[in-house]
Amino acid sequence: MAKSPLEYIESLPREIIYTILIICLAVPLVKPLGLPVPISSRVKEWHQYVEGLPDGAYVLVSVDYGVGSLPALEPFMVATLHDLFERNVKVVIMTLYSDGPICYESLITKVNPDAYGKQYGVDYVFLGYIPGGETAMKAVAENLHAAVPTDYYGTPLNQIPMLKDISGASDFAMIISVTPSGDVAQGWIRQWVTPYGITYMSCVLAMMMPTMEPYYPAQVKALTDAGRAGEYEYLIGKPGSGIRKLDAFSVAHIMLIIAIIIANIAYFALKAQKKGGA
Amino acid sequence: MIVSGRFMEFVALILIWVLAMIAIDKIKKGWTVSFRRIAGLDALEEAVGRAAEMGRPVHFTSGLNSLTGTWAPLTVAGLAVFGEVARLCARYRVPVIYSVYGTQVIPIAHELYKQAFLAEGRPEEAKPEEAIRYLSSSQFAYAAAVQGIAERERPAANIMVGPFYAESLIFAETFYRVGAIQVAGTARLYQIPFFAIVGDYVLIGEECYAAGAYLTKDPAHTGSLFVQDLGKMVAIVLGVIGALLTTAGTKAIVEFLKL
Amino acid sequence: MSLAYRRHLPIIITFIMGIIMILQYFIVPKQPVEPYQITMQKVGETLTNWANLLAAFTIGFGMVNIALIHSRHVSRKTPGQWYYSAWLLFVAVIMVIVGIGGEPALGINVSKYQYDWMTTYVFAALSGTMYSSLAFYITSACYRAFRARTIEATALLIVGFITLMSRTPAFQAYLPQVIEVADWINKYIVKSSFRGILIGGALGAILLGIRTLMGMETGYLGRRD
Repeated sequence: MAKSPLEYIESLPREIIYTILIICLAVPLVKPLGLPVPISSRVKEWHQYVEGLPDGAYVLVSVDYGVGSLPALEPFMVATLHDLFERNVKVVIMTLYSDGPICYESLITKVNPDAYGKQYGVDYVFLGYIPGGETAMKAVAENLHAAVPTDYYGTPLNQIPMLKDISGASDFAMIISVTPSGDVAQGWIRQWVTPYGITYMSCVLAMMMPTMEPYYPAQVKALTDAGRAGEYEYLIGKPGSGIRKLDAFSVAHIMLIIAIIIANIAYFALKAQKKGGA
Repeated sequence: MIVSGRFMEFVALILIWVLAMIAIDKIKKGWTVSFRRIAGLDALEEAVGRAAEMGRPVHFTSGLNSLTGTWAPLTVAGLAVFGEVARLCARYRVPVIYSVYGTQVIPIAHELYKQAFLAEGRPEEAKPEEAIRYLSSSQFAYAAAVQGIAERERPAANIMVGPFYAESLIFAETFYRVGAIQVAGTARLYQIPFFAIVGDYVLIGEECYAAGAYLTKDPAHTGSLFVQDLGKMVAIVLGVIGALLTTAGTKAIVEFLKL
Repeated sequence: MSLAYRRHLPIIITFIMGIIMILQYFIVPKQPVEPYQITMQKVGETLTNWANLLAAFTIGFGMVNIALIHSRHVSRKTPGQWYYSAWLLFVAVIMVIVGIGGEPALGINVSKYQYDWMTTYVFAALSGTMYSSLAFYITSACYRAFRARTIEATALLIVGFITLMSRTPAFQAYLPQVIEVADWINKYIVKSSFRGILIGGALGAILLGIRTLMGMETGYLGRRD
C-alpha cells in the first residue's frame, strides 16, 4: 500500500536525508556564506594562557589522536601551534598514538615553522610515538631522557640543544593535549597535573566535554572542544580549514533542527489523523 | 605501610570483599534476595529466537576489546555475555558470528564457543573457525569490516557488549538498517546515549558488569550483585552527607575519604 | 589433564597475580623508598610486561584466523564475499612485504617511502572517511529517534534541540542565551548523571574483579561455570 505524504515524511528514507546533508555540507565549503564567527570564552581563555607564557618557557604538546580523528582535531592543533610559534617559547611535541607521527607530519606541513623563523632542535622538537599510554606520560614526567632516548629522527636527546637541560615535567610550564580519548585526557591530569601542578590545557571532542567539565578549571586550566577551531583561527588571524567548516556546521545543524521539527509535525499530524479516523 | 591517601580506598575494598563473601555464604545457606530484571540480558533469548525463526545468523561484538587495558573488566563482561549467546545459538541451532577486534580474546572466544556446544550436547556442530572472526585491530578498519558483515550476512540479531568508541553508532545504525534486533551495552559514558537512542535494549554501565553473575543464574553469584547495590547506597548516603556538610562549610567527609 | 590442573590451577594463578597487583597499588608510593616497595614495584612492572608480551603473541592468532577464513572464502568462491576476501589477502600480503621492507629497526630501508605512502594516502584517508561517515549516521539516528512520543522522549527532544542550537555557530552569534542554557544542562544534569553512572560502573567493575579473584567469574578462562 502506498504511503501517504505524511507517512513518507515521518519515515523519510535515509538516502534523502543523506543527500540533503551532503548538499548542506558541500555548498558552504565550496562557497562560504560569511556567517558570523562568535568567539567563545573558552577559546579566549585558551589563547590567554598561551599569550601568558613567559619567554623561553617549555611547552609539551601531545598530538594524542590518530589518523581517524585527524580531520576533526587537526585544525585546532594547527591553530594552537600557530599561536605558540608566534611566541618565544620552546615546543616539545610527542604522541601517544602509534599513527601519531603521520598526524605530526601533516600538522607541521600546515603550520610551517620556517615561516616563523623556528628551527628544529632549537625551538621545537618531535619526540615521536611513545608507547604505553599513561605509563609513558609518567615516564616522560619523571625522566624525559630515560623515557625517550632519541627524537623521532633518531638524534639522541642530549645532542638536541633545547633538550640538553630538560629532565622532566618540572621543567615544563604547560602541557597541551588534543585528543579524542577520555582516558588520555584524564591520564595527563593524574600523571602531570596532580603530582607536578603543571598548567594543563585540553582540547577534546564536543561529546567528551561533560566528562571533562568536573576537572575544569581546577586541574584543566583551559578546556575546549575541537569544533571551535574556526573561532581560534579567527581570533589569532590565521584562517584555515576550521573557519571554512563553520558555515558548513551552521547549515548542517540548522538542516537537522528543521528536519526534526518537520518529522515531529508529521508524527503528530498522523497521530491526529488516526485518532480522527478511529 | 599503606600509601598515604589510599588508606580509605583499601578499607573500602576489604569491606566490599568481606561483605561479598558474607552475602554469598548467606545466599548459599538459603537467604533469598530478589533483583529487578535486566531487560537487555533477558532479551538475549528473544533475540536468538528471532534469528532462529528468520533463518539468519546472530552477530556479536565486544567492541574494541582488550584484556590488558583500562577496559579489561568490560571485555570480560562482554565475554560472559558471549558465552550465553553461544549457548543459546547452540541450543536453537543458529549460526553465530563473533567479530573480534583484539586478538587476545580469540582463544577465550574459541573455548567459550566450544564449551557452549558441548554443554548443549552438540559438540560436532561447533564451527569456531567460521564463527570467531578476527577482523582488524584498527578501529575504523574494524568498523568497516563489521559493516560489511552486516550488509552481506544480514544477521537478525546484533548483540554488542563491551568497550565501544566512535564506531558504536556506525554499528548501531548499520544493523538497524539491515533489520536486526539490537541488544547493546557499555560502561563507556560517551557511547551510552548512542546505544540508548538506537538500540532496542540497552545495558547501562554496571548492568554489563553484572551480566556474568546474572546470566549464570547461580544464587551465590547474586550475592555480589547485592553488595554492588549496597555500595551504591553507601555512595549516595556519603554524597548527600558530604554535600550538606560542604554547604555548611566543613569538608570533613572529603578529608576523611582522602585518608 | 586432571581437574586440579584444568580448573583450579588457572584460578590460583589469577588469584596470586591479582593480589600482587592490588597490593602493589596500595603499598608502593610514587617514589618508592623502602626495599619492599621497590621490590613490589619491580614485580608489578614485570607482571605488566609479561601481560603485554602475552598479548603481543596473540597477534599470531589473528593473522592465522584471517588467513584461514578468507582463503576459505576464496577457494569456495562464496558468492558476494570471495572477491573481497581475495582483495583483503592481496593487500595484507603487500602491506607486510612493504612494511618489512621499510623497517629501520631491521636495518632495511627499501620500501619505506611506499609504506609511508600507503599508510598516509590509503589507510589514513580511509580511516578519516569512516570517522566522517558518523555525521550521516548521527543525522539519520536523530531524525528517527527525536520524536515526542512519551515524556522522556520529549525531554530528550528538548535537550537535544538546546544542545544542537548551542553547538551551531549561527545560533551562538544571534541567540547566545542558548549557550547558557546548554551550559547549565551540562553542568548540573549531565555531570551529575555521568557521575552516578560512573560510580555504579566502578562498583560493578570492583565486584567483577572480586568475583574473578574468588574464582566465581571464569569467562576469561573460556568457561561459564
